[in-house]
Amino acid sequence: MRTLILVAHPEVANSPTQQFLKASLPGSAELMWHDLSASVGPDGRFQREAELALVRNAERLVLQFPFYWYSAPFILKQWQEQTFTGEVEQYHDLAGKELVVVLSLGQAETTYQAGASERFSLSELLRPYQAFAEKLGWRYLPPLVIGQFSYLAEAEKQQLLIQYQQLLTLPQPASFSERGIWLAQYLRTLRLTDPQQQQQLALVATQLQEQVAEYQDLQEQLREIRAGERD
Amino acid sequence: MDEQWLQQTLAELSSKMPQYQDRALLAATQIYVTELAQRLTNGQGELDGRIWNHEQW
Repeated sequence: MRTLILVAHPEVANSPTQQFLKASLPGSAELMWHDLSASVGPDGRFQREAELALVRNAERLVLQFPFYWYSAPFILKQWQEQTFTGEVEQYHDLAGKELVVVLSLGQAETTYQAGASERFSLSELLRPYQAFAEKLGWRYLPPLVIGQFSYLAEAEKQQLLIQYQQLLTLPQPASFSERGIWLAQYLRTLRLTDPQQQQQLALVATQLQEQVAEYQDLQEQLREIRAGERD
Repeated sequence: MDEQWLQQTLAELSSKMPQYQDRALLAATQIYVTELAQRLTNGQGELDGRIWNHEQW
């Protein structure tokens, strides 16, 4: 999966969230980390052809940004307007891509719903990005939302790291089984100095894969029985 | 080899991993294994329940 990560943040180097995500990138996948603030020219403009070439080459685009006044930092709007100029028809050859937002929030995600302090849901507030994707014939995927990164416990950060890697590399939306097979595959890439431990790790990956296969069989049987039931 | 063996082995291997990314992968696998075991139990229970559904006899 060729994934282009468009990072829209005025100070990526000073953002713990962005630095964490950058350090989380899996080494083996076809990923490109594209820091928009570092890519804009000294004249304040993007090189349109170069940006379009990056988009053309990607199968999935990630818009990654903190939420400022219910939108992305200005640099993303600037990139959109300077890259996608003129009539939308000229971008028909780009149809079929996927777009996903990776959003960091200063508040808890639960505050973004009717009745809570932010009052509006993220699905409502992110609508312009969904509309942008749909206008271009791209599939809009459910966003990955990171609420109050600095308050996350260590175990939550580890979980986020894997969620992010799976978002970047797996067909989406990924099923429970697909996520399990992904874990087994990635476990097999780890290297330990002790051969006995390496063997144990291989056994863990095999066991996991077998249990996922058992789960898939069980689900298939259940589907058949449910389909055959008459009420 | 069951869930307990998997959990124990994953925890032991995690302490041998110097890289943060690798420990995160093992931690995520532990969480996954817990959920997988629960789903297998639930699925097996549902299968038994549906097979023994007297209304379908």
